[in-house]
Amino acid sequence: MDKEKFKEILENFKLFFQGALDFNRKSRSILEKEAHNEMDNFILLCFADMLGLPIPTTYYTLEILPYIAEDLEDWQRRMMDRKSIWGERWGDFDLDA
Amino acid sequence: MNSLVLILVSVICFIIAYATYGSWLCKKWGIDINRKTPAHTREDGVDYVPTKAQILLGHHFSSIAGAGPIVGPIAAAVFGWVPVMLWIIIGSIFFGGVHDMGALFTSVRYDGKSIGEVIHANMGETGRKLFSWFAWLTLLLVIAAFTSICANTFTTVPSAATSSMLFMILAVAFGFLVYRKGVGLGLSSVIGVILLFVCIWLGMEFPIQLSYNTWVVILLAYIAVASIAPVWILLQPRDYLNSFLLYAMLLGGIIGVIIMHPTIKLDPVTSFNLGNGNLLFPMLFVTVACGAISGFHSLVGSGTSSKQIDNEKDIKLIGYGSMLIEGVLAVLAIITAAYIGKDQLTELLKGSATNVFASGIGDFMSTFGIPFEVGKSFTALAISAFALTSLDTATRIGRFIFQEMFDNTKEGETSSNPLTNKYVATVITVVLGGFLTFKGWKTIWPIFGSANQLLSALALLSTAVYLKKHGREYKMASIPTIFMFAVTLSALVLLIKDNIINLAKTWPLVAIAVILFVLAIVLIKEGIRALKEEPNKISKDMKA
Repeated sequence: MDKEKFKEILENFKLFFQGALDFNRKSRSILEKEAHNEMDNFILLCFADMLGLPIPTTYYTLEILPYIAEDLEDWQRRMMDRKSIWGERWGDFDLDA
Repeated sequence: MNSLVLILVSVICFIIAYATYGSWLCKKWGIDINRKTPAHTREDGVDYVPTKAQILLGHHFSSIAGAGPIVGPIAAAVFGWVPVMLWIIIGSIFFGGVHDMGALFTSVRYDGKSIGEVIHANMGETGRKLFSWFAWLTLLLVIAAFTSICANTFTTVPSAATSSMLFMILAVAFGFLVYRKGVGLGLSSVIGVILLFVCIWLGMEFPIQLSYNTWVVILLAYIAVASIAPVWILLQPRDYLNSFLLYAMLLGGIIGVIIMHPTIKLDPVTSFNLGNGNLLFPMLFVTVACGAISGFHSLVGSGTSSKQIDNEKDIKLIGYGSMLIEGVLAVLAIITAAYIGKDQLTELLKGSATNVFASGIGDFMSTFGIPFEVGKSFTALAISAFALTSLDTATRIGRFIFQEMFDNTKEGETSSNPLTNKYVATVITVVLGGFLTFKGWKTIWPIFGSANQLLSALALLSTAVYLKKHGREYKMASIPTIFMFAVTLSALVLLIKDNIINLAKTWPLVAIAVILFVLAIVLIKEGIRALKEEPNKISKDMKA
């Protein structure tokens, strides 16, 4: 067999096991998601009226707007995307069935 | 017939199918390598992260491989190994592979949204509600079936009970070592693997002998607690160590089969009618569920994998390829049942399918120096570990679904529905699942299979509607859907008919079967309506 081809196959196996035995997949990455969700919830409390929810905190929270302005559009999209907890969280857990 | 022939034939069939049918699906569905996937358009470093195809395959396969494709084929071995092999091969190629790939593909096209949203977009609110119901019922049945299987395993292989419990402690300690003490992952893994074998040895030295019912109660209490516990306490390193177990078991098993190449002793075909409503059609198809087509895969595919697809051309490898690899696992399972002959199979099956599989793999691994008892304990530990993971995951997600189903508080209402309370929802899910457990896994498994197939039929239907809406050929999705309906409806009718005689004892099962039947009819009606609608000519997903 061509040496290059063999190396490629070996590399593929290595990457497969790297993904299969990825320690972060079910640990750090889930915690990161939870932390990001918490942050999103916090911004929701601060800027809920951007989504049409009349919470009057914006008068006070406008101060932090410059720090989150870049992410604001993505945040709005993430909020509008929030539909079903179980549907979106399913992939975080292993059902193995 | 030599078992090596079975492995070779299945692997060759899968390779040919991947190269031909997989590519044909890509062409017919309009997979576009120049189109940006949501991993790129919505990249955020958290959920949406473009990942190399091979790494993502590792992630995806680890999420879908478990006890399901092992138990099913062994339970179905009563029909003979030929029908089981045929269904595993044909099912994985034309049914499961299409289902997994379709769910992944439609999710990628809908910005990485979960399958529930995809179904909502294609089939409306009724479709989504049906999906919730099917998912919750299937999870209840997972709780019932896997608790029963675990309890049976612990009763017949008591060493697995001790080592499973020690394994839990090991997982928590492992996480502590890596996160709190900052020990490197490589070193921790080596220590972890050594301690794993210590667990197995301790299990063999100090087996815990308890009755089946006691184990059921202990397991139910465990999953109630574990499903409420914060994710970081139990979940993390356990899945990492589980992966080691899975691949060590797979590699050990396959290498062992190649070295041993045992002859198949079981009858190729036994009978179409085995009595007690055990007909080959439809029972074979709902018994071998996860090994041929499983609705749960659509949830995994659309949950995380679709958000990490780097390029649409990877969908074939991740969606279609991973199902075929799972087919190989199912073939390994049927070999462990088929090489021992009918009498020994019946004897081992008394201790659940895990006992059969563990004995087989233990036997295969002894060909390269691993003592039989060690190999058997190791495999029993691995299957129990997967089953326990499945159990607390099923309980956790079952709770989420239950909470969402009853969360319809309107604006202005201050009192919340007690059914949406975390603890109430968990207790209800565990109690209902546990109630069914005492019926035994053999009775529950075909109903679990039916529910799982209905879930997959819904996902396939959604794929078919999506393809039709975009003016593409959709028969490769709609024909498997029709077959799934035929199989599950007839299986449910048979199950109801056989259990209705003892209604006093079997009413929970009959009730679930009737509910599933009614939901399936509603689904068929919805599917016909959705497919009859005119294809949407103006759609942002359509190629210009």
